[in-house]
Amino acid sequence: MNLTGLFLIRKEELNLRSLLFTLGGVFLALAYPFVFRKPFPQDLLIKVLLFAFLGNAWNILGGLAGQVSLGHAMFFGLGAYTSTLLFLNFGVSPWVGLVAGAFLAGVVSIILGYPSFKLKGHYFAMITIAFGEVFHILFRNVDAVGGASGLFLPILDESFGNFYFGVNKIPYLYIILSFYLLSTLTIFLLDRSKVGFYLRAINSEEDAARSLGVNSALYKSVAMFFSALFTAMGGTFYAQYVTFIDPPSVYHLMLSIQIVLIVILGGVGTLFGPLVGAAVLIPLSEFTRIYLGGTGRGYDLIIYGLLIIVFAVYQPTGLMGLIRRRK
Amino acid sequence: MSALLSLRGVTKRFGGLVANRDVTFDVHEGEIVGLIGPNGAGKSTLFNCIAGYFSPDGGKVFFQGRDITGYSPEKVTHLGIARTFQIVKIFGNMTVRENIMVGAFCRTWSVSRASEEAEAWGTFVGLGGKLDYMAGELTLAEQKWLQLGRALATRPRLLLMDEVFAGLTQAEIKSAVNLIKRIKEEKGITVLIVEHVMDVVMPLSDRVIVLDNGEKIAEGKPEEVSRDERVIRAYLGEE
Repeated sequence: MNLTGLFLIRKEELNLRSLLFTLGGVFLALAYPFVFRKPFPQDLLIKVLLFAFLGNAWNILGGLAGQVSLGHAMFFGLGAYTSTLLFLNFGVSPWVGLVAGAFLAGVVSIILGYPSFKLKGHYFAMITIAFGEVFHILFRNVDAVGGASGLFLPILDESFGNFYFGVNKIPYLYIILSFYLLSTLTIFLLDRSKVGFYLRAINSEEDAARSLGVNSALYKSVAMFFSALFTAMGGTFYAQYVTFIDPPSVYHLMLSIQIVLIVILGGVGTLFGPLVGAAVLIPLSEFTRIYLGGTGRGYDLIIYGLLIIVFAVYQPTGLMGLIRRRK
Repeated sequence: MSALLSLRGVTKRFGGLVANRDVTFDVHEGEIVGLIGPNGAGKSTLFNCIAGYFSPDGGKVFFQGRDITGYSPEKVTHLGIARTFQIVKIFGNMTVRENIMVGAFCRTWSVSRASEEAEAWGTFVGLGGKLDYMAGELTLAEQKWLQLGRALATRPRLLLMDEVFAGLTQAEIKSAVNLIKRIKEEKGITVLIVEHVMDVVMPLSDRVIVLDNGEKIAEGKPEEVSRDERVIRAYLGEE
C-alpha cells in the first residue's frame, strides 16, 4: 500500500514558512535553559510543556472525537504509579515503566470506555469524573501502593538510563519537549488520516457517521486509547521529575479539570491550542502561588474560572481562534 | 428472481404502540421502490429497522439472502446499504469534499483515493463547484444533495432515502427526481424511497408499497395502487 496516500498533507502545511516556524520554536525551547539559568524559569517551561503535552493527549479524545473527559487524572496517576511501583518493587527501569504504564492506561481506557461510550454528552463527562474519583480513593486507601502517604523515589545516579538527573533540569526539559513534539506529530498525522476524518465525523453527527459505515464505538475507543497512553506518559514523567507522588498530586479531579481548561482556553481540537493555553495558564497559576503564598491556593482557579467565562462568551474557539481570525 | 432486500413479518413496538405490524415485501435489483403512506403510518420506523437504527421485535430482514436483522448501522452500510436522513445530518464543520470522503473511507484507507472519489460523487450530485465550501454554508437543497453524494460514496447496492423531497421547491424536486433516475440508470443502484407526498413518488417509482397504521395495505405498480380503495381511504379518510 502507498503509505503517503494514507495522510492528507496540504501543501500550505509543508511550506518553508511553517517549517521555519516549527524549527524556530524547537530551537527556542532548546536554547531556553541556557538563557534562563535559574531553576524557577526552567521549571516553569517544563510545566508548560508537560501541560501542553497533557492537553494534546486530551485533545485526541475531547477535541477530535468530541468526547469530553473530566477524568484524565486517572491515566496520569496510572502512569505515575505504574513506573514508580515497578521501580520500587522490582527495580524495573523507569523507561520500561513508562511503556508499561502507558500500555496499562490504554487497556484501562478501553475497558472503561466500553460502558462509558454508551453515554453521550454531559453523561459521558460525568461518568469519567466518577471513574477518576474511584482511582483517587482506591490509591489513597490501599497501603500496598503507598496509600495516603504516597511514594518517594530514591536518589539514584544521575543518568538517562535511570530517568533521573537530580537538580539538573535541562534533561527533563528536553525529554518533555520530545514527548510534546511526538504527541503533536501524532495528532497532525492522525487528523489527516481516515481515523481523523472518522473522529471529526463522530464529533459532528454521530448517527450520520454510523450511516456511512463508521464504527463509532471502535473509533472512540481508538481515540481514548491514544489519549490515555500519552497522558500516562506524562504521569511517569511527573513522577521522575518530582520524585514524589501521592493520590492528591496525580489522581486529583482538579488535575483533570486543569487539563480541560488549558485546552478550552487554547482552542479545542487545534494543533497548537494546548501549548498556547498552557503557556498562559501555567505561569498564571505559578505566579499567583508565589505572590499570594500558601493562602493563595485557589486564587489561580478563580482567575481560570473568569477566563473561561470570558472565553465562552466572547471567544468560544479559544486563543487559536483569535490568532486565526487575525490572518 | 431473488430479491435484493426482503422483509418477512417485520414488527416493531414502542411500549403499547405497534409502529410496524407483520410487514412483508421484497425489493429487487435495479428497481426504484416507493414506500408511501400518510404521516404516522410507520414508514420511518420501518426504514430504521432496515438501516439498523432499530432492532425489530419480530420478523426478519434479509439483504442479498443474508439475515441482517438487528445488525448495527455501520455493519449494514459495509454490506451495501446506504441511507440519507429526513432531517439533514451533515458534518457542518467539514467541507463538502471532506463530508463525501467520510463516505468513501468505507471502502479505502487511502486519503488521496477518498478525495478522488469525493470529487467524482460531488460532481455527480451537482456540487462539483462547491467541493471546498463548508457544508454548513450550503442551502437546504444542497445539503440534501451532499447527503446523497456522501451515501453514494460508500458504494451501496441499495440506497434508502428518507423524505428526500420534503422542504424542496418545485424546481429542486425536479432535479432530485432526475438525480434519482440517474442513480438507478447510470450507477445501477437500487433505490427505496420513503415519502408521504404521493404525486412525486408515483411517477418515479417502478413499484410502490403503501403502509397505513403500521401495516402494508397495498403493493404494486403506481397506477394500480393509486386506484386501490384502501389506499384512497387511507389518504383521504372515510367518506
